[in-house]
Amino acid sequence: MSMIPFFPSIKPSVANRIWFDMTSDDEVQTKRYEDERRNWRESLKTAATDLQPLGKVHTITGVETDDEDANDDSEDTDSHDEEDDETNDRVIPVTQDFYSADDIQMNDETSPTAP
Amino acid sequence: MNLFEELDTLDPSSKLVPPRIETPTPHKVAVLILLKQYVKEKKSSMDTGITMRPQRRRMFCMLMFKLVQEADMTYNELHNLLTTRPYKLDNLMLESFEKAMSEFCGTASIEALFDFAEMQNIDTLLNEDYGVSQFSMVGVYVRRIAVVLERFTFAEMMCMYRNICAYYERGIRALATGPRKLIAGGVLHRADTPPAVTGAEQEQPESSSGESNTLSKWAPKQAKFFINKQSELLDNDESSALSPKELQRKVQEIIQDLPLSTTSYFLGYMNQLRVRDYYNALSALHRALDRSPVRLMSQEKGYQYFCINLAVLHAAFGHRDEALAALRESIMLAQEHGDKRSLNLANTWHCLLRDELPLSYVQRSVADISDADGNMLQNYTLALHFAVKLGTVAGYQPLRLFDLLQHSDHLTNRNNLSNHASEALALRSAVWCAYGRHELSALYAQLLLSVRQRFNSGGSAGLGSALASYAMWLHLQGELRLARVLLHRAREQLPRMPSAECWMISQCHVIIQSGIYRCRWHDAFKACDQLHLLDAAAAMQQRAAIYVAKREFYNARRLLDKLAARSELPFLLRMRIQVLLAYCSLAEGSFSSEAVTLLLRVAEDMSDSQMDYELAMVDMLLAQVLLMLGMPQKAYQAIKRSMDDIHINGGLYERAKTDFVFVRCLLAIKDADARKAQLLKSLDILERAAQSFKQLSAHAKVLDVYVFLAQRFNEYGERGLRNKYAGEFRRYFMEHPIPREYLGGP
Repeated sequence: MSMIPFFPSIKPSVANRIWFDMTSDDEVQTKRYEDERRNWRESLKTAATDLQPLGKVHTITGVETDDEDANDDSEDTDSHDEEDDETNDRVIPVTQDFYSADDIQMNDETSPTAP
Repeated sequence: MNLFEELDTLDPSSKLVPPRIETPTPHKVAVLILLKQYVKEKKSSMDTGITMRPQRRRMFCMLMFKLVQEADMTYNELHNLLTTRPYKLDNLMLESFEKAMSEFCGTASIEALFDFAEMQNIDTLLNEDYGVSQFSMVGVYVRRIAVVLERFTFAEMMCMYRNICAYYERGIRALATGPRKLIAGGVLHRADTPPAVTGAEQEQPESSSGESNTLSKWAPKQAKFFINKQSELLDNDESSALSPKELQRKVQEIIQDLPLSTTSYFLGYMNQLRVRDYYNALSALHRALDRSPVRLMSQEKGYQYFCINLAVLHAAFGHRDEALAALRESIMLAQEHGDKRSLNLANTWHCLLRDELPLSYVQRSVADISDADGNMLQNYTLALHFAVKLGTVAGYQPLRLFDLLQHSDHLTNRNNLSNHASEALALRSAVWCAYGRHELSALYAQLLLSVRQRFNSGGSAGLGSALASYAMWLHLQGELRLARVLLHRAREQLPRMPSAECWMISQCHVIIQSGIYRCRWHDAFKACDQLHLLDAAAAMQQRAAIYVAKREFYNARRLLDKLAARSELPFLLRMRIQVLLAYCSLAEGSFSSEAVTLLLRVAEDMSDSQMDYELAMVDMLLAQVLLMLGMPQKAYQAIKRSMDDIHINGGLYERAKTDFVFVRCLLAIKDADARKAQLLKSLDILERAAQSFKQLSAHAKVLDVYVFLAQRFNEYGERGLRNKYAGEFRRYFMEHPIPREYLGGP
């Protein structure tokens, strides 16, 4: 009729830390979304700046050639445009269509609300 | 939810698809509106120069933490939080909040939401001077909501607005019927109410535990907070966690809202484990392991953790062999993949299940105090505690055990492991008890019980054993009601196995002791049967003790011989069995030298292990034997040796019995003519002993004392006192008639 020693139960926890180690990178994720959004808005400002109005043909200045034969018979002496005629102008064919989807980010990946 | 996304997550070879930011819920918008009121007030206070009281600011910050981290509430619950302590807002701010809410949902239209989602508005909240820092927890919360609201299409905004209105209206309706009153707002100045889009508008009865909030959704952060908190409570302090049904409901909600989160499945498994439902727990574990992507644990290396968890499940239900088999497999896998952490964990469980501990690990624990990371540290303290337990059970030198305990204290105090600290206290109590210092052990148990609030929910590790130990101690001291109260409390706190084991064992012992005192053998035997399921060896020893009290020495000896033949018994139990065996042969009245040599050998073992109290009990027994043999001087010396220890550490019964034996020895050493005077002098000691026996309802012993007194006074010719005690005997016998054969017993 004496005391019995009672031992506490000594064991590691069931919920091991390895399972419950959920790293949450809220800041990184939020920043990424904000940056994307900001980039998209910035890109709106500069969207389609490389396109020309309809009708005008896009030209680029070519290499200057020594084409005196073509210009000798010219009777316009006041026009300073002759300087331009010395260059070899070439027409750039329009390969791009109007707006493409890549310019403005609208795919499903980054939109948070698409199902 | 995208099926391809799910497959992506499960397929290890695909690139990482990051989870999306969650859609804001009406609760979150309400929280932001509240925050806006606070920022406005802070700005105005900065402008006018009157600063807000720091306590108010602090309480508001605490409130924001609570709102941001915990699950979504209904508007009613939010309002309740804002109007009761400790987060009670002052009237001005509460009024402005209510007004803002009512304007948002009532007078204004969807423009309010658009204005709210404006960058300018959000920037006001995140202002450097008077707003929230954008890198703080609340700041990130605000930014997350803003960044999603920005991208909403018109249809989505409309849907959101309707939800907010519905949320507000439900809250207002509940408030109108409830006891609290709104200060401002609450009246919806609108022609018609836009109906909520989410599902059918079910009028569910509002229970106090929260209505089913169809408008709320679990965000990953809220889910993480909830799961971490509940899992810690389930591990340490099970009664403070949510009830099983409630917890299951919440887990289902989280799974529905966040199906890819793996820890919610694991929490479901822990819930099943806690209610001891084996089959459901097994299927829940399989489900949790299926849903956890192996990729998270770097390709193929995940399987050893699966095996460890399976082993833990089997261990919780006592399936030792299955657990060991699973552990062997996990150790093999861990070694194959070179995973040190899981190998450590598997080895820990292996040791615990096999009740063995390699000495090298203990030495390493003692040595590596300084450099240890979290997991290893917990392992080391666990190893030290386990070593102390094994040492106590085996009867090692107590000094070495206390050395180990001191090392463990060193580790826990440095690293603030409150769980281990309380476990160490409980362990100390057990060690003192095993080595016979029962008073000190009771003090440690009391210390643990009174100080556990300070441990911040980590103080429940040793609770079961402390309650059980202290209850038994109280019972031994004759405080029967207090012992019952404590056991009742233990039953409430720890309703299920395996944590209930301690108090169940304690209760059985209490009933057995009570039965022995009162000579209620049937009750005591029944309690023995119950004890047998929990601790077979102790049950057999107690059964033998009952037989000894009943003076059925043949049965007692039979049981004790069977018990003594067993190998794996705790040291203390083995000593007590030997003492009982010796007692059996001596109490029959025949003296045998074998019995005395047995006793002396036992006494030697006890003094080697410094079990002073048990030694004192043996001395008392020896005193009785020596009296019987007619050697009063030796008997007197023996009883004198033992009195101190028994009076300090013994229960009420042992103390009274010691007093009785002491008086008998005193009388025996005096000459015939001095005896009467001596008896008169010692009368109050015997009265006190009789009183103690009465308190314990040990009727047989009370009658013994009275018989002894009456007989002695008769011898010495003191008729008056003889008649008095004979009368007392008769009176007591009328109330508690004890059969003759139980008198004159141990």
